[in-house]
Amino acid sequence: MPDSIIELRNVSGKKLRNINLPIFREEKVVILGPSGSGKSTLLRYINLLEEPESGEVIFDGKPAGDYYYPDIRKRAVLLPQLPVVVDGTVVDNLKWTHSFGSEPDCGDDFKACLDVVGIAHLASSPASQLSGGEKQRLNLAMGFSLNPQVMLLDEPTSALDPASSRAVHSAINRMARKGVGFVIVTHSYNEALLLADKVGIIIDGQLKQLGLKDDVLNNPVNGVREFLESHKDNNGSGSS
Amino acid sequence: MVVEVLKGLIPVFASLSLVVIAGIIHRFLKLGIQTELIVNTLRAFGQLLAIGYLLEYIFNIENIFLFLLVILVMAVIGGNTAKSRAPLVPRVFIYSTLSILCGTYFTLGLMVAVGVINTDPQYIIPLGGMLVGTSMNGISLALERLYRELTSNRDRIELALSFGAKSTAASGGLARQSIKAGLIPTLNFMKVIGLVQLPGAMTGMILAGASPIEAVKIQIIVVYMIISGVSISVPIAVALARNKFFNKRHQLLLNLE
Repeated sequence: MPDSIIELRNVSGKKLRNINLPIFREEKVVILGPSGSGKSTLLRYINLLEEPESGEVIFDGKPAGDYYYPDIRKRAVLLPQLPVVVDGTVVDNLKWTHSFGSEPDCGDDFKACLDVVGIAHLASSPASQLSGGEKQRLNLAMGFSLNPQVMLLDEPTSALDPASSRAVHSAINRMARKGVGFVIVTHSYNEALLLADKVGIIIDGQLKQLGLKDDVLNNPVNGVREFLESHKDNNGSGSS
Repeated sequence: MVVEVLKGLIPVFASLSLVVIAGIIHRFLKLGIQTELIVNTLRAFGQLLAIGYLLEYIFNIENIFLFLLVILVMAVIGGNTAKSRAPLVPRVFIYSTLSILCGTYFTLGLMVAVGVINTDPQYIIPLGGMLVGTSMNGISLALERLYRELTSNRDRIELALSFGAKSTAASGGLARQSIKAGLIPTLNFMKVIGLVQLPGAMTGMILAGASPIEAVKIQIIVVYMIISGVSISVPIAVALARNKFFNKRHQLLLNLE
């Protein structure tokens, strides 16, 4: 079994209790759970925006505390639930992303990064005038341009219509094919079904089950089964 | 002695008639601020009279360290005022006081060193007071703005941090905005000085019998000192306060829900 690139080891804090989550290269993990179950906090712990009360976040076998945080955060960029854009054009936003000292990996015009998410034609459009789905894809391009090992996405389609959601899902799949791993937290069953290699289920702050998508969705343990049944019913459309 | 003092205050009491007129206008307009007017009239009278006698006493002692101590006391009061205006900024009192002192002592020190002013109390105390006052206002505005910018741009700051920005880079633009907000009133004051109103120092000198040209010379020096003082104190206060919103691990420390 390969070594994990990032690992949460016995992590507790806020609502989360004793989370063990290894993240492997080029893997898409979807964490499903009801609203308020601590999913967003989990991503903030991985990106080191917050410290867990106990337990460790491990990067390449070493505790995060051994590193200078600004150096390792780029390995696992966290994108917010509601996309954030700065003043200027789409390309200006990508330049802003690299104004903190990192070299872009997709050409000076960022075309390769915009192509991956399907908004290359919007390169010189004002970012503030993009639709919600386009802004979300711009944020994905900004994260992708930093050449991360993993991208951490917090409910990436919860505020989007079905067509925009599909565009975001396609963008995620294209980036995954280029070797980026994902940890996506969502309360949408459909999102797990469409995107995941692995599925984790968080209920009441505990990671109740973690495994390959088919194993978890077809053979849920007690407690998880009821949760999945209720979410299948609402078709994961983000109703909670 | 008491009778003499009261005699000397006759013009002041006469000018109270203006406050009575103001009170009548307030009442006529039903503004409901009569009590405030009375209290503030008494406060202005008491505070200024007290400081007048205190300055008279201090001026006679002629000890530069005592003057510096007076400015220190002013800075503490200024720091406390800044605290009341930006109460959610951590350590706002101590940082404001320190920054006010840096801007004020440096500006006064430089002017004394190059011989523009001397260490006589009639220079040090009023100029120090003006420097403290403008710095206090600039710092209050800047820190209040800083807190607002940090809270309303939290997602953007954390996105920058997530992209590998250090806390100084992630909040650099917001800190600059805050510093500007603190400096703009002083810059605006410089823009219209002499056109819209004659500033206090100059008015005071002319009333006291100085020639307008002499008064203007001093006023120009005062204005340059003020922009220097505020340009030193506001950035220091913003830098110190900004650092309290982040820890050494470049994490944003706003109260999260």
